[in-house]
Amino acid sequence: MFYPQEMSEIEIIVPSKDLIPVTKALSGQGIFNQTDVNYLGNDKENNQPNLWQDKASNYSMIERRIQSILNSLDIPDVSPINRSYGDLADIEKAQLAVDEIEQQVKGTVEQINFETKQIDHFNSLLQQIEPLSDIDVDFSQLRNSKYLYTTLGMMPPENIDRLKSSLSRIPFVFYKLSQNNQKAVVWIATSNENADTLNRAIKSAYFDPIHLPEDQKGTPLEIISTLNTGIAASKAKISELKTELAKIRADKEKQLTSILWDVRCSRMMASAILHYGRLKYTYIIVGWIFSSRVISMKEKLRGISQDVIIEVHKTERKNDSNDVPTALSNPRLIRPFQMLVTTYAEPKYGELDPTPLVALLFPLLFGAMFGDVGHGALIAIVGALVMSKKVKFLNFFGSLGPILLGCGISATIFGFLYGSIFGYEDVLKPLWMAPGANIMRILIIAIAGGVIVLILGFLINIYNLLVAKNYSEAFFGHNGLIGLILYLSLIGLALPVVGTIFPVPSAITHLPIPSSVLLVTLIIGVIGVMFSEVFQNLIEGHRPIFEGSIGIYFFQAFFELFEVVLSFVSNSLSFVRVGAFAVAHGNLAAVFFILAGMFGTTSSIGYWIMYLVGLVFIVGFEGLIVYIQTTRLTYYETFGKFFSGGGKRFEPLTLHPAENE
Amino acid sequence: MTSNATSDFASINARVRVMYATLLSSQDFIMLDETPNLEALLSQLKHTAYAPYLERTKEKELTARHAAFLMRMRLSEAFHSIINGSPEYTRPLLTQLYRYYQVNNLKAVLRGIVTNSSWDRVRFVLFPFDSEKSIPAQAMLETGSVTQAIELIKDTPFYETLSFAMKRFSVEQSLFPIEVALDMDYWRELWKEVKALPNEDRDFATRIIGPLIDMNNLMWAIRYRTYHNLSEEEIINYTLSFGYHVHDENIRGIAAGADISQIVKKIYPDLTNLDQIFLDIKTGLPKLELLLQKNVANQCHSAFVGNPFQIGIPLAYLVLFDLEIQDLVVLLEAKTNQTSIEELKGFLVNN
Repeated sequence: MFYPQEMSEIEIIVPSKDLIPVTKALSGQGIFNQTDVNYLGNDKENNQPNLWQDKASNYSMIERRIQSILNSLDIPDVSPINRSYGDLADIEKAQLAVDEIEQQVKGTVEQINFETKQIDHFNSLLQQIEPLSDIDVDFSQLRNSKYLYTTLGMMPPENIDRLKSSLSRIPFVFYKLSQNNQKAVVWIATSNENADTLNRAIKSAYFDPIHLPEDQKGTPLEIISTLNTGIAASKAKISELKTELAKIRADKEKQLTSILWDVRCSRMMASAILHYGRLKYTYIIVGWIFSSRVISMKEKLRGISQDVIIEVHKTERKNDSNDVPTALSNPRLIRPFQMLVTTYAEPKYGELDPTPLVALLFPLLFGAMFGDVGHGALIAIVGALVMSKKVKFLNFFGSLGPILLGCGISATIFGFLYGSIFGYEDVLKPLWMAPGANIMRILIIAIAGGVIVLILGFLINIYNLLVAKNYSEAFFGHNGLIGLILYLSLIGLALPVVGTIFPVPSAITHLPIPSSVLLVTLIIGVIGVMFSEVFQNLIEGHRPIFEGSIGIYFFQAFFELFEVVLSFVSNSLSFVRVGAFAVAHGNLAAVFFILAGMFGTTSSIGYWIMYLVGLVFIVGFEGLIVYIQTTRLTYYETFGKFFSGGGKRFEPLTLHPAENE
Repeated sequence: MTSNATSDFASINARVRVMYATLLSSQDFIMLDETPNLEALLSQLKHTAYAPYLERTKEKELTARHAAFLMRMRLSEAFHSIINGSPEYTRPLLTQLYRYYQVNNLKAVLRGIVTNSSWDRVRFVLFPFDSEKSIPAQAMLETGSVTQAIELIKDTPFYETLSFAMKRFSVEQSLFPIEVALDMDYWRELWKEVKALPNEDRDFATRIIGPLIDMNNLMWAIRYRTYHNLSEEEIINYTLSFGYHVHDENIRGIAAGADISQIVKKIYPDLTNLDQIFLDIKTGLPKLELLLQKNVANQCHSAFVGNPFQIGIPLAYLVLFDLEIQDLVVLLEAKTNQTSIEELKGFLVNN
């Protein structure tokens, strides 16, 4: 639980005859992460073509064709969960079946496409003719005239006179059919031999021709009516064709889905085999497997074939084990919080998995900031509904359901502790304290909580580094032992001063450690942090011990110390927001009570409408802000101390599409 | 001259006359012409009214282009000052005159997009407007597409002007129809504003704006015929039907292929050296344009003689100021390219 799954590297040599069952066995249960060793064993001199490459691309091509048919038939591409997979699908057989269905579907789909394009065409014509709708002239009669050239279009009204001037040397007829501020619809005619002159003139007058459909006759209004009839006819045709498609769908859905999944499994299998190394009669498979499952896997493979050769290397958790994939292994209850960890970074194989800490800390911080029985319960209900997947519009929360549930429960518990329910601070008696009435106290407790979290961060970091045998960083890193000594010394020395300013119990401000001891540890911490690089170089045997001149080193060391102390202070004070939000929550609710009061008394509807607005605002908006703040405290103040990440995600080999999903 | 006109123009007349006095004299131009290089020219300019503008940037960063940009700031401020100080009814005309630089900025940005120029290259070519009056030039340039850039000025009058031109642009992928549409719209609107003025002011404004329109319209017609080889119909459609001394029949004559020199001589009987210019029309055109600009400048100077309470005076000053800046830009470019004084004088209005 505290570390990712222990991994072993497994190398398997498989005779060609056993390739498929072995591959299938490896893909089961999601415990094997394949490594690409395609380069291994290739006979460079003969350089035979890899048949699996062709197979994979053939399967892929058929898969795409089936998907296209499914798409045309409006059949969802879902995986049959209970369907098993085994041998590779027969490519030729699948191709024949697909050819046949495609033939049936293609004609109908092409007709639908044609009718759809027809509708688009009619619509674009309608758009063009629209400005002519109130002109009662049959323009089609002028078409293909022997002696007359005519054109119809729109132009800027201010260019009309100039256009007429420019046409003065040719005979022409000009009619302004309609006009508004921006455009005039005009009709111009001239003799056929002057068509070029007319076209030059109208183009330079910014004339925009309207192209009436060649096959349409009558006045614009009649053409509009004909086009509308055409659109209606095309729509009816489409509807008819869709009925035809529905019939094909009913007949072929099962067959298509069945072929698709056979082909898809085969494609995935061929792709996996592509990454194996190849010898003349055998294949080399390399990858990572959970150490706990090595024996059962060996037995399973031996059960398939006695000719399989297996070699397993157990992998230690070292600092440089970056190539080992990380599979987080947490109890079901806290597994949803893995998402928060992997969003920040994938843990390295050798480092502690921070999920258990996050599962504890995240709801705790959220609850402390958002403590309210009613509001917390609402968030918990939303979380439960998200998890149930029964409410569609909540699906956008994705896998956040359990986190919301945890945060909601925590907020409810803190609600009892703070004595707050739906913003009412006087209904429940606080089991601990009301933040609004104990502002300084809650702020100091928040900082104290932060100090504990930070110390925990230091300890985890030291532990991680010791396990990884990175002793120099464990002892002299800024987040290592020396950093912890400096941090604790600073806190120990600051506490009595804090006690004189704020009401903190003397048991806390006056630690049973003499200040002289704290001073000594402070000096050790200061020297350790300032010269951490020197000490690390000494431990690791790096030379020179000082980089550059000693003067510059001291100068840099001083500023490094300054930066470290500053980050300690800012990291600790950052937790003050926990207390601040706890106070703000109650006050925000009080503001909405005042606003509600402005709309009437508690017996009026206005009061309760405003109250509901406040409720939505607090649960939605404040809830979101608190969530963001919690994430910030977890990621930057806590993870920053010990979690480096940069691991490689464990990606198990899957050959069944349903497993992939 | 009415008592109303006196009160309307008293203040602006005084202000413009002071500003008029700060225009560079012939003596100033001789000194500027004779500077050996760009550095010396800029240093000489710092002894003129442009000094406060040129000192807005570090000497090392002052390129010819940047200096031109800073000098235009003075013109921009002059426009603001004059528009705000002029009688209410004259402001639409002055504002429309000022819009000329917006049109030019728009054209420069669109050219920048087509030539794939960077913002650093384009920014100092633009006329310095205050943000509220300017087009979102940088954002437009950064779209990298003329169509998308035009969408960014949807809320300006330019958008409507370009609605038909953009259809041609999408087919021809040339800025020509866009630029012609912008120019035509600008001059039409300017003429409309001139005609909207009351009687006496309309006449005074026509005397300043009219020659400007004439010059542009005539140069367009000649250029379309000699450089672009456009047809008669196209030339007519791409030119204006109105003017002061240049009439529609003159433009149509040029479009129809009549002798250009005869038409120009008939319009401007006082212009000299026209025969020499028309010996080779293609090389002579810049010289003709310069002659026409000098004619405009003379018209503007003459506005300051006689009735002092009229719109012609602020208009004339603004046109003269623009011509002065134009000359200074020529000087800056010439000094950067080490052009000789003699060669230079052929391009200056104030020589």
